[in-house]
Amino acid sequence: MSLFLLTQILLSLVALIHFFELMSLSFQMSIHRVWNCGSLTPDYVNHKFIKGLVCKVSQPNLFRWTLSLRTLLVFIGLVWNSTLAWTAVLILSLFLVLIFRGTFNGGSDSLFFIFLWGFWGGSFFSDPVLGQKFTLFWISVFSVTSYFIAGIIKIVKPNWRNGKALKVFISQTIFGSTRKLFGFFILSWLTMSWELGFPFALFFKSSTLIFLTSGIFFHFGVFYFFGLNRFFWTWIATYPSIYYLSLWIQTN
Amino acid sequence: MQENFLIYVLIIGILVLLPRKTGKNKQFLFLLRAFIPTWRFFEDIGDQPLLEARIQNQNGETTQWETVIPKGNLKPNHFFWNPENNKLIAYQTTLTHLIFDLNELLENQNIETFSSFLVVKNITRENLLITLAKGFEENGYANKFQFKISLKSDFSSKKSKLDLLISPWYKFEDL
Repeated sequence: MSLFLLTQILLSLVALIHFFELMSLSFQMSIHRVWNCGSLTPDYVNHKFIKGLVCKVSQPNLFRWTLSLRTLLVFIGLVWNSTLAWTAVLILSLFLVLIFRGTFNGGSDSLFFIFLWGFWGGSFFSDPVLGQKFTLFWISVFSVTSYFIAGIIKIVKPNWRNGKALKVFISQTIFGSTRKLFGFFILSWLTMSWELGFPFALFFKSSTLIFLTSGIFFHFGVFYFFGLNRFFWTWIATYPSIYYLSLWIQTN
Repeated sequence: MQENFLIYVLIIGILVLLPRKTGKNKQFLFLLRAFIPTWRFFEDIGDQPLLEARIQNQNGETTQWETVIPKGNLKPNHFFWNPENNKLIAYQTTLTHLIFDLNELLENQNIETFSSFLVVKNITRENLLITLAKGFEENGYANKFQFKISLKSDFSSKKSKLDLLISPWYKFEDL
């Protein structure tokens, strides 16, 4: 199986998780009572056109149609590499996150957009192989950058260096302090070293395998302690691209 | 090709490291943040935001302040299917946005006109209605509700709680 195909399959999985989770919440109606038109309009005082569209898409029926159409178009884009489909996916995705005032699930929504931009950009190439290469490069560069920057952000903070930050973050999750963990100092330094060292995954075959394998455990830990299942699937979906970039760098 | 690649990485790095604020003037850019990621995850610790509410009946009797956002519950199947916890995380994020807005509030601005405030008000009402559905409503108990945003400090030796905002009373049916 090619790395591009694997990326496509994993992106499909991410899109399906988004679809089923949001659809389920939409049928419960709770998200529509919380993020309703009246509450969202103050954000768009100077953007009446967008305000009108966001209000319309926040209505339960149109929200479900938008979400369904977005998911369908993701598959059309993946199968036919259609610029038009990817453009529509980007626009519909924008409205879906605007309903939640920017993101529903933080960084995982951002990385989902990175995928969309990558496939959208790749669809412009007349040579499909070059287009695929662009997509894989795009996704991998952003994914590696995400780890590296997250590492820099942490290491400059004394609370991360002394292990206090990790302890507090785990106690402040939606699960409260029910999750027990020890050795925060060591775990903090392991996290920071791993994130800062992630670019090394690109340069040696052994380090590529070590970083990608440990990444699976890292993201599983993030799911276990913070409940962020979407982060797991979205970041793991970038791993075939990172592997592709590492092969490219090591052979060039 | 390799040189271009390195320049490209550098530009992306600089772009994502640029600081962005969430004040009302930069509100629209803030709403588009999914387009320009910062990757600033779990940057630094701060006081824990708390959302509490109380209910008043027709006789003016009020309940105690109670936590609004329920605790999550993680099971193995949530690895694939986790809508409820993701919703709670989104609630918590909105609460954090309201605290940002409160911190950047100008003298001539009214927090009650901010989307973050209105959404938190809806979160409160939504979760109180869930509680009410479990028993209170049958007694005609609820008439109005009020919510409070506090910051709880539990990572220093001195535990403390600071109230940032206490909302006016809202009638359930007014929303």
